[in-house]
Amino acid sequence: MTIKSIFLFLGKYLKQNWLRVLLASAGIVIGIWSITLTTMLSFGVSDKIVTAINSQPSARSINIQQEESGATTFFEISGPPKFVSLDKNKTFSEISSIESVSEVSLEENISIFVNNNPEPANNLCTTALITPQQVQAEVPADIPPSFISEDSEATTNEPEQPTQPSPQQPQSIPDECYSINLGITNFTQIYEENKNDWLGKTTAPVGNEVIACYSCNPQKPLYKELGITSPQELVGKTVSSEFVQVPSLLEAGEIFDVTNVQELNKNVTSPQLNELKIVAVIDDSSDNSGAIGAQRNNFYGSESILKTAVDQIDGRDFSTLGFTAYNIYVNDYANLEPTIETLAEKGFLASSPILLVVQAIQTLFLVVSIVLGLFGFIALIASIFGITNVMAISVLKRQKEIGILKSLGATNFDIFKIFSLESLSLGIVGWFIGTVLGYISTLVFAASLERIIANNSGWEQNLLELGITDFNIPFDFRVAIITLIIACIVTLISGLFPALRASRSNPVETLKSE
Amino acid sequence: MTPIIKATNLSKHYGTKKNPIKALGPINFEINKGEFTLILGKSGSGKSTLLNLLAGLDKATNGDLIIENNDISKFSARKLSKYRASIGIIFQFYNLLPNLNTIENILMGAWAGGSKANKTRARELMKQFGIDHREKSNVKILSGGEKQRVAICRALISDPDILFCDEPTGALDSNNERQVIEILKQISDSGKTIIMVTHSKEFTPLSDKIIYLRDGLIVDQNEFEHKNQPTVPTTSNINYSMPLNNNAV
Repeated sequence: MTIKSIFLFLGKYLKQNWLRVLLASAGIVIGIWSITLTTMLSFGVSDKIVTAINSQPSARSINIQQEESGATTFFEISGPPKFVSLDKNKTFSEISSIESVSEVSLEENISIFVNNNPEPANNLCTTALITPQQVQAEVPADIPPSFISEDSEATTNEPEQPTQPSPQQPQSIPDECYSINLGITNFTQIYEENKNDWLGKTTAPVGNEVIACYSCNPQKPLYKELGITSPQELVGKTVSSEFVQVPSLLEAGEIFDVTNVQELNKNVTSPQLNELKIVAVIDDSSDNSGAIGAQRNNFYGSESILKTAVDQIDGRDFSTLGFTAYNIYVNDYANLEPTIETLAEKGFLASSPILLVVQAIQTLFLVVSIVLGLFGFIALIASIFGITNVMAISVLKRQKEIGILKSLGATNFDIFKIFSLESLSLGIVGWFIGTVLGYISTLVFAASLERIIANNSGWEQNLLELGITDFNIPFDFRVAIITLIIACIVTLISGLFPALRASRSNPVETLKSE
Repeated sequence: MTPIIKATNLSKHYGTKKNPIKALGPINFEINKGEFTLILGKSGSGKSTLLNLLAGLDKATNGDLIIENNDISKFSARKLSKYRASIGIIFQFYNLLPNLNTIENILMGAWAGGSKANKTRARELMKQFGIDHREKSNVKILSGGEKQRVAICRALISDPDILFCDEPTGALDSNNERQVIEILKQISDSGKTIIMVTHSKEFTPLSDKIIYLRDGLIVDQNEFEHKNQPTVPTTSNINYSMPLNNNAV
């Protein structure tokens, strides 16, 4: 049969039996309606949430570290703790070469983070380091200034304002800006147990260098005795003290503790004035976070002390010590994930907490829509049986027509095509009606939501700040195409057996039927 | 002269191999091109079975059936479909497609076989047989005679060489019957081969050959020199523009 004749034959039949077509496709309508409503709604709401998140600048940021840090607790460390560092020049140029990166913001402090516990030191260091001019002075000349964040803020607890260094003479990084943070609770004990392999070897009693403990002794913390307010102030300081008779009483690496010294002084008969240079400070003071037993666990020292210590432990070359963390902003939220992948290829450990949150939200909504859509899918599956029944009856009722067509020269395949197309038409009609109803339902939902929000001005304002101005859910053609495919598959399967049966019928017998 | 149809030991059985029900044969006959052949016999004699085999609606159990140099008894289902598209069939009860109008039914005679047929040819046939005023009418509202003429137009739309007729006047009243007989006479005179199954002896004068069947076997075959006996009306006696007798089935 010609294609035209098949469609003519089928079209005339469907036109004259439109009510039967509508009723037969009811199952498809319900299934498609349900799937369209749930998926469009979930995608639409998910998109609104993403829009809200995306409206915040922090949504486009990526945190980057060069290497993964070590274990989280001391007791899990089988070897020396790993240190994390970034070569600012090399890192800067590599990151700046990524097209989607719009700006780079630097961490506000310089610390060597260990065990991923980057408790920042007091921000004495920040003013000297993260101003755009300072950064520019410290990076190679070929890095465009635009990559230096203008948003970097120099926060400090100090009332004094730092002197802005000239670009030609970059200020060196002060000793007190270097620190180690082990992120463990009992730093003092750890130090005691490891000092011989650690910083203990770096101190020379003859050179009167000592390690000071900032607040190891809660009854009589050193800072109170000395009237200072931050651990960094001690580093590099020379303390004249009558407490210690001779430096030799302090062993290498011995912690300079007031209590300890008093004990040592018990046998002193002739006090002498000694000058001790504090080369490193242990800060076990509370971090004021409110958590019980929470301590800062910072260890401050001069660059040479820390480098030596690190060399002792990790053999790492700190000659290229630089910024330890970067915040990168991409030019568009859509570039967030590709940029992370690019950074990963370059060897950086990059992450975006916002991206994880958004992905989690999108996954959640996808799961919800799938679960809800399953109900619609079940309706579609159930409709298979109904449509099979309808098609079987249609074949029975039209046996004579089948015989007539065959007697005129129609092949078995022509008959199969006619009835397959008939069942397919049920799917298309059902899909169309279901899609229209589904989309109208989403519009009704959006209008209802807007009405509720309009009655509450506070909500409206909050949503505006998040970039949400309406709840219109655009028609998603992807959903429509997928549901069309599903409807066609379901109805073709339904009509398969009746169509086969019709095609194989005997023309003599079918011509005899009424 | 090579016969256009030749049946050799043709037979048709129903039922199983163990318990076959013999409906026809074995029979042998030949039909030449352009002949008007009647197949006569009482009910159950195997006339319709023979016509079904000749029209490719059914397949013979045994024997050969050569039509236009092709043994259709060996044809596959697809080839039989193609053969049916090349012939014309007229049924007793018209067998028109109820959802289509007159001209669509006629065109379907070609379309079903995969051929393109133009409306000009269909309109010519409708005019020739006096149903051109019914072009857009649904076939359900036509009279019996009109329906049969639609069926005749459909059978002729592809200009087949052979026409098979299964009691074409069996459901018509006498007036319509005469008209259909006349139409078939015209078709026969145009050189087409017609094989007709009928109870009616009205066609006897028109025929070149009569095959008598009884209990599935040929009991007699007659050939005539000529036809055109005065018992049937001539073309000038029929006015196709007049309303037909609607009492026909």
